[in-house]
Amino acid sequence: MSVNLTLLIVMGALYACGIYLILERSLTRVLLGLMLLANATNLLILATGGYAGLAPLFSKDTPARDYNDPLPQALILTSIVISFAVTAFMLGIIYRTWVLARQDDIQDDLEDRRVAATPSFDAEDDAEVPAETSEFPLTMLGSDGRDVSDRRASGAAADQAVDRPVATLVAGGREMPAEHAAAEEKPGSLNVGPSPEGGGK
Amino acid sequence: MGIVIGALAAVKANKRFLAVLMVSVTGYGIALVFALQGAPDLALTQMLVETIILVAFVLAMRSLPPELRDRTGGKYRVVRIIIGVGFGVTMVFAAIFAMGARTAVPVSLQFPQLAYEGGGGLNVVNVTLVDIRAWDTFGEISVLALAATGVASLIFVRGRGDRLRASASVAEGTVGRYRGVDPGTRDGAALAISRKFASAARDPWIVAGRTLAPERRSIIFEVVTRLIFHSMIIFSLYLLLAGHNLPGGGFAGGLTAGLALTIRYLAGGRFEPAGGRAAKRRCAAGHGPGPGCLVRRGAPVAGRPGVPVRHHPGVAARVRRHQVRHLHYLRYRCVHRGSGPGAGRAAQPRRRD
Repeated sequence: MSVNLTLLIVMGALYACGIYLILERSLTRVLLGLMLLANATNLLILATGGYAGLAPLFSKDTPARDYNDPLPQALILTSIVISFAVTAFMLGIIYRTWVLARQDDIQDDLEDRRVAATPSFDAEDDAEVPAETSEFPLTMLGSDGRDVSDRRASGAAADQAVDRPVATLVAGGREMPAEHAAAEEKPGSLNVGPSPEGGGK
Repeated sequence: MGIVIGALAAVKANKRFLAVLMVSVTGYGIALVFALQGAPDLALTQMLVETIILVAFVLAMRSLPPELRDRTGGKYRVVRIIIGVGFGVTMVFAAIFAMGARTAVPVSLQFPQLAYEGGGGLNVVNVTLVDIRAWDTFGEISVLALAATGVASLIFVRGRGDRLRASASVAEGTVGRYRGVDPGTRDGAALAISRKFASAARDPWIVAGRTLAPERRSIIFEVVTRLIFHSMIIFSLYLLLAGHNLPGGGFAGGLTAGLALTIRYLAGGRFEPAGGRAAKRRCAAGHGPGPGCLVRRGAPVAGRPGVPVRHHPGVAARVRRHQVRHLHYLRYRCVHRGSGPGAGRAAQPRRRD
């Protein structure tokens, strides 16, 4: 398949200018960049039709190869219409922005910046649910003032390994002993800092 | 190469109008490329679209400030250049490799025969649009209808624009009078003279011309509009009907009709298109896709026996034409809405409405 290099170079220049303009803040320039991109894309589709040929108006004694490829032309026609519609729509947006807000450029979205700056983790909402969700704390004291769980561990698992692994759970990205996690659950506990979302209030 | 120069100038331009003009230069250049490449339909359509867009831009820019300020600072400029040039080069090489990799025979080699025998038309591109790739075109019409609806909802800032009176009920010479011009100055003297001559009691060249303030009227423009408007409408009908066998088609015809209406609007002011069938035009976008859908599915709506309706680009094209006219109608509204008592406009001298 032959390639028309001139078309492609012009297309590349249009693409470059279009991308450069579309990265601008001014809405009008963005629209102009969009139009340049549409033109460049039309050229790209046109280039797939190969070299220049006869206009695709049917005549019986012309072989099909002599015409310029009609399929890309049909696609470009569709593309012209749609980019026309998009341009009209963008122009409407620009007009409305100007009439209502007297602004022609894209402003920094402060709220968006703030959301981007806050960490996505929120201790109150996003912490994993503790292993024990009952109202009673994990550490229950027996009648002798010692921990019940300790006693059960010492009674039942006396012959097991001495260093019984402490029940841990993951909360807030940290691994902590279950007792500490349970302490955090109690109201008024001090080791829950105010969250970035304003949980301190 | 003019295209490239135009694109670069559009990048460099600091004035809004200059930038728009330079983009138009690239558009017209591409129309030329289409013509040289053997695509008369594309050249025609691109030419008309560029004209319409240019006019629309100019009309919209009456309410926008002339300068393009607030250029993004030099901090990101180099990055943007690198991204842009990189993208362009990538696309060039992607195109070269993609086309170098093509080995199969193009499917479109059968299109001329298909268009002639199946579609019954000589213009292969238009028959492709309305027949071989009909659903594609249906989607395109839908996009146009959606865009028209969107533009309508965007530009009617203070109302729905349906309170426009007939031009007969508007007092003579009241639209867009200059106010606050000091009669002692040169402008004031010119104003007084133009008003002195405004009382000619004779038939207007165009219907709503008398509603304009005398200082805004241009007799040459009105006469020329009167002369060429009907010719343009007839030419658009010709394009509409000739599209089956010759370059033309519904979209080009619709654009021509839209241009004719635009000229009338420019010459006669805001009440000129309303003197026509504004309400009908406003409704057109609503029922536009419906007939197109029926036609595409081969429902025999009307037409000569022997020629299926769906093979007739006129039916599908009329729908598109309606929508295009609708878009233009919306633009008129857009512009005249923009001339209200806005903060930015109050300071500028008011131009023709």
